[in-house]
Amino acid sequence: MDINNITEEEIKIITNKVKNDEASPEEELALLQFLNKGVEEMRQFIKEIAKEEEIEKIKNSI
Amino acid sequence: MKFNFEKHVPAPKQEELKENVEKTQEEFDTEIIKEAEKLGTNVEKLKAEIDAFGGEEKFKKIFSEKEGGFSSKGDGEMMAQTKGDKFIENHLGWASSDRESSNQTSKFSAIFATLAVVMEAFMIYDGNGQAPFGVGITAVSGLASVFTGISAIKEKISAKKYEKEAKKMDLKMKMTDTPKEITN
Repeated sequence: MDINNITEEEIKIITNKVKNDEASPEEELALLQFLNKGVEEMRQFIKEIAKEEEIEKIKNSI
Repeated sequence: MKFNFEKHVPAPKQEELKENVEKTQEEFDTEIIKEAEKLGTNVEKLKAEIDAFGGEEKFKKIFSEKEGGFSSKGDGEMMAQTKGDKFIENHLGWASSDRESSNQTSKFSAIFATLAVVMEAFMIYDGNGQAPFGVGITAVSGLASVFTGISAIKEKISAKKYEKEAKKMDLKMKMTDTPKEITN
């Protein structure tokens, strides 16, 4: 299962299957990988914003 | 369609097939445990990074400022739809329309919206009965519930695997356990 090409609808279906103990190991793994990807993207968002803030600080100090 | 019968490969025996399936299952279990542990570490790191960044409030504020430009629907309409399919439809609608306009914020909004779908499907809401990311401009209102939701999913999946591993170990122990002689 390619989590980079997974649709929101598929994610929703897999999540419901996990909730009801009906998911296959492949689906369980896909959901974990998807959550990991989401968390990593959130971390990236913070990094980028922090970087922007740093640049702004430097600009203001010049 | 052409068939090549020159190199005959015998069909795998039933036992071999079973062994392959079990191996794949074991591989999945190992990968699932690995991925669950990675997720746990990632969530902890994210929490620490949010704290280092200035805390959840600051994160929410900045995200709301950045997200503010793409709320094409009226705020009233957004607030009226707090959870359920409408919420998802709206969120996904914004996410996909923003994806088309391709900017940095839209990328993150799409991710947040999809994570919201996962949490919604898992029926985890924050104390106010709101879906984890709140509605519209108040996005990321419930970061704590997102973390709780992610952990709950992680625990649900990995607990079964750990239980299975423990049973396997127990069985192994019982099989290798030889009766000890009682000596005085």
